[in-house]
Amino acid sequence: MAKKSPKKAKRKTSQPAAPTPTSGRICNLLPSKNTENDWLFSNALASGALAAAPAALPASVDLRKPWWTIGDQGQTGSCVGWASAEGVVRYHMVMAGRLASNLPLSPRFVWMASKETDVAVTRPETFIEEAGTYLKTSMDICRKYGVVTSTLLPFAINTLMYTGSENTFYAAASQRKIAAYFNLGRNLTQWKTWLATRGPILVGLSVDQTWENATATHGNLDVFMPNTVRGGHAVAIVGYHATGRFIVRNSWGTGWGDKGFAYASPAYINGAFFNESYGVTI
Amino acid sequence: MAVEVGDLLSVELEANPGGAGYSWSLEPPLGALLEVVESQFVQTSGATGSGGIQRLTLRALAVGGARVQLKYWRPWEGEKSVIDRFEVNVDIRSGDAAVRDAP
Repeated sequence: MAKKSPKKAKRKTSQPAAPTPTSGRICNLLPSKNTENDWLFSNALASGALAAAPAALPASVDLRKPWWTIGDQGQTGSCVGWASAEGVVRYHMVMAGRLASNLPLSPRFVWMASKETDVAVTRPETFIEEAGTYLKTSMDICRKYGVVTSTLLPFAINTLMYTGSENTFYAAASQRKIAAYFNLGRNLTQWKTWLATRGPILVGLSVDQTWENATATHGNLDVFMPNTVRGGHAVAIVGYHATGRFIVRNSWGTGWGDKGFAYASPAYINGAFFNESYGVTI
Repeated sequence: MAVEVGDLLSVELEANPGGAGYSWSLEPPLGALLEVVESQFVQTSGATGSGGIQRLTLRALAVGGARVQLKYWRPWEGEKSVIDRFEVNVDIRSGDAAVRDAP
């Protein structure tokens, strides 16, 4: 007899006619829609949003800071909120003196607001903890409304979310708006330039077995295994090593990878990562 | 549930291995009556971070009673990360005697 648990409602046992071949796995991982009009790296340069690229990039860049601690999204689908609010915007706001370094931003706000306004409109799922969203929509939230702190809207909710004035909430968010976002694609030269001159980058990828084994490999991500893909994920890129590896900042706690970070080779990035990424200005 | 020797048994469970890092793993021992044919994940949404269905396909090898036990966890975090469990008893019969459950 099946032993049911209330946490996972949709369960099914059946007797299939034949197994699905391993190569036939369905992933349905989609980058953001409507990115064709995104501002690009070239627009950032031409507009002055990005200072002229340095003649020679530093051999390595590491944006990690002691105050920029790794979070844990638990079993939720909130990775886009963590990667955008905590992985990208918080860095900029602290470095610009607009946010105390010990004050985290709210992944829940960006994640839920993004779900409420993204292109997946077949059914409401703002309140579904397992549901994800899109990178570009999260950038639009950060640009239009800003980001509140986790003090105002914590990630872990026990009863009520926010009980204050709606105007006060959005007034608080507006104090931490980004000015613009630029789609850097999967151009690793552009990534290095942005990291060296501006800050962290929001990225998406297809999680595979190599990613899941990152703790055993001390964070090194070398060979993408497409036949083991098990869903889409959002993280931030926060630097690069002289070896060519990029520093990945995850939101799966400090037990994953190297204390929550990983080091992705260019080959792994070219296989696993979306051709969509965002650098922001404030 | 009851199956015949040679039948395939599919267990489908909601999971979010890509977005959250949680997946279902078999708790050993599976025993000698069943073997794993395939484990696959099917994404049910295009949104980044969303979960889907993890499907485990088993084949019945011999007559007897078997128990399939799975745990939902982050494998690299160990037992402390287990947040859900699932188990099903399987009665494996010879072809003549089996009475199938409706799928």
